[in-house]
Amino acid sequence: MWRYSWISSVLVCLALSAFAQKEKAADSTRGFQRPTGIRLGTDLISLGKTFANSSFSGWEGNADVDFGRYYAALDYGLWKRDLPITNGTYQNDGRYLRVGMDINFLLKDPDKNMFFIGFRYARSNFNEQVEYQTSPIEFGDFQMESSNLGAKAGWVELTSGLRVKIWNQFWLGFTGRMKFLPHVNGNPLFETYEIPGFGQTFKGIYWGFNYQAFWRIPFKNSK
Amino acid sequence: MRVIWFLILWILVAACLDEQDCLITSTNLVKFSFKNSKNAAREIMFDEITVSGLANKYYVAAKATSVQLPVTPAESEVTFILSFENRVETLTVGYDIATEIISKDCGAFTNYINLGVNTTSFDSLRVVNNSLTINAAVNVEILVD
Repeated sequence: MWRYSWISSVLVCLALSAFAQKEKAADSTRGFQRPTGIRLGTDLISLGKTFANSSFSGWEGNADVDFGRYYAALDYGLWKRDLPITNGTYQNDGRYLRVGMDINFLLKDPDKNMFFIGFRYARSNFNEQVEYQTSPIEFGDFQMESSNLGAKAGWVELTSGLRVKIWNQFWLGFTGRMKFLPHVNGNPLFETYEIPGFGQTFKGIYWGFNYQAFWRIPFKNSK
Repeated sequence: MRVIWFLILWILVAACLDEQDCLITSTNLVKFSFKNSKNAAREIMFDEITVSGLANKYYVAAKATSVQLPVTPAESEVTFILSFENRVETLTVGYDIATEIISKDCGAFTNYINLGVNTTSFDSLRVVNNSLTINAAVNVEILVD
């Protein structure tokens, strides 16, 4: 958690520094331009957690398209959790989609390396269930189960990060995410514990971090 | 500028919150209190109280102005039969069973909510608190002449 806090504070400071810059005179790099290519990638942390963590399996794909300094971004992910809790087991299984835009602040880099700030709106469809042991007074031990099937959730993210061209069309980068305003439509008799793509709902703000590898596919009519 | 630093600090502290407090206030005991027509506490000499689904008898030859009786997570309603002062009264309460997971270490627990009185032979009563909690708040007030 301290690692995430440290990264978060760096991201927030970078974001504030960028916002604090006085506006410069408009130039050709600042407006919308025709797209020159699409970057397709995946989150290496999700893959690593899938192999290293027995309670989680997931995968996330990322794509972005440049419109000058603005990048339309789309993320799609799968998320499955099988978590032992102290008196039972909790499971969820779902998919999520994020749509948003990033703004690049490295305007004159010849390789189009990016330091960006952006936002996302995310939706998740998922199922969750819990089985647990309880001991109500006078009724002995009970095995209880509750489920939340076909639940839908949404949230908002502020993002910041880097994308660096490593070789040819191969890129690496990271994205830090401040996720907030989670909202769930589901079974009112089972309070959602964890939203796939977001995390635990009792935290109003949740931090996320992706380390991503991309392959860029240039469009034919672009330079 | 101070506001911005305060905001940053608040966000970081909020993000460091790993687990919720492991504080469970839920119970499966429903509390009834008895009132007279002047809205004062009414002491009742019970012969016994029985609860549907349980063989035990409660408050046998006991005096009380309020009683706490168990409800079951296996059903959505429970019937109580109260024998006292040469009377036998019945009371069936209904409720919803809600599940909440506090954290991995605290585990899951059951909340009994939306308590209501489905049927009763008492002339007058009212639900004053429709959630069952361990702080012993009265759930139902019953008028007994």
